[in-house]
Amino acid sequence: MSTKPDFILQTFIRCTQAALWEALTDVDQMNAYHFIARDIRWDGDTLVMDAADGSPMFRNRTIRAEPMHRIEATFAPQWDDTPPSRSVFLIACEGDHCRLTVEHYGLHHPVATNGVADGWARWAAGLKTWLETGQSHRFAEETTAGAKNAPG
Amino acid sequence: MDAIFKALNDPARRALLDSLRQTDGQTLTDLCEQLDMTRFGVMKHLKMLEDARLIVTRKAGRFKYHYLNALPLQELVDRWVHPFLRPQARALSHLKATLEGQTMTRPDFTMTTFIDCTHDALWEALTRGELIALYHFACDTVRGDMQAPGDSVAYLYPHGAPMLSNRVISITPKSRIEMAFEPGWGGDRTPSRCVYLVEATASGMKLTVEHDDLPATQTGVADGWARFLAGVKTWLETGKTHRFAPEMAG
Repeated sequence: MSTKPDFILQTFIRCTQAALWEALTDVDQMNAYHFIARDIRWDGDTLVMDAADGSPMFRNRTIRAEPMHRIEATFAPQWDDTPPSRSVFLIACEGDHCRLTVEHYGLHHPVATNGVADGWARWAAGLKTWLETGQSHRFAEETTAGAKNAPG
Repeated sequence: MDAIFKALNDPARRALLDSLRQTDGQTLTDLCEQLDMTRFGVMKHLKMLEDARLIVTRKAGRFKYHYLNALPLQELVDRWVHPFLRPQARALSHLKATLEGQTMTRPDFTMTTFIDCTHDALWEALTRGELIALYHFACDTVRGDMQAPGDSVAYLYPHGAPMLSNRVISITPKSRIEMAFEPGWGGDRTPSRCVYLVEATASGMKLTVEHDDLPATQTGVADGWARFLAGVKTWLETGKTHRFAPEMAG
C-alpha cells in the first residue's frame, strides 16, 4: 500500500461532526447531493452507485470505518478497466465547523488524477451545499438543472 | 489524393517542388537547368504535378511560369499526418511534463470549488474588499477593490495587523484575475503569484485558484485557500458569515 496520497482535497463545512458522518454514510443523503451517481445503495459493506442511465458506476467496499472520524474504502470504477484505488475520508471537528479531508491513494496516471480531482471537487461542493443549505444541488459537468447559472 | 501520392513518388518531381518552394514562378527553361534530363522529361513531370494540383501555371507572352500550390499538400497533411502525429505529440509532451516534475504545465497549487450562485455575485464577492471581509476566515477588515491592474486589496487581522496584500497584475472582468500574493505572516514573505479563474457552468459557478512560485518555506497556503473557498461558498449560498478559522489551541 502506498503511503503518500496521490490526491488530497480539503474542505470546511459548517455542520456538526455527527451530521457530516451521517451524510457520508447515509445513502438517502448521498442520493441527494452526489453530483452524478444515482440509486446509491449499500450491498453489505459495499457502496454501489449507478449512472443516470442505470449502468454500474462504482462498487466501493469499506475497508475500515471509525465512526465519526475516518472511512477507508476502495475506489472502484465500473465503467472501464481502471484498477481499484483507495480513498480515505478524515473528519475533524474545529469548534462550530468541520474539516473534511479526502485522501486518494493508488492513482498512478496523471490524467486519471485530473479526472478524479474534478470529481472530488464537484462531490465536495455538493456535500457542503447539502449540509449547509439543505438543498440538493448536483454540481454535474452537464445538466439542465440549476439553469439560473447557465452561461449566456 | 491518389494523384498527389503518385506525383510525390518520384525524386525528380520532388526536386521540382523543392525548387519552386525556393523560387516560385520559374519557367520551363529555369527548371530544366536544374535537372539532368531532357526538356521533354521535365515537361512530363511538370504535367503530373499540375494534374495533381501541386503546381499551377500561368502563361505570360511566350513564357509559362510554374507556381507551387500548397493547398493539396496541406490537405494531405491534415488528413494523413496530423491525426497520426497528434496523439504521439501529446504523449511526448505529457511524458516531458511528467519527467520535468510537471512544473512546466501545472501550477504549484490548484484548488477548485463549485458554487450555486450567479456569475455576478461570485465576481463581486471576489473583487470587493468589503464583501471579502464578510466571509474571510481570518480577516474582518479588507480594504480596496480589484478592478484594474495595480489595484490592491489589503487584508487586516481583527487587531489591525496586515495579514496579506493582493495586487492585481492582470484582470479579465468576470473570468480571471492574476494577482501578486504578498503575505504578511510567517518567516518567508517572498511574494508569489495567484490566479482566480471564474467560469459559469451548466450546474453552477466554477471557481479555481492557482498559486505559483510559492516558496517552499511558506506554509499554510493550501490550508488558507481551503478555508477561503469554504467561506466564500457558504456566504454566497447561505448569505451568512462564517469564518472557517482554525480552532485556537485550548
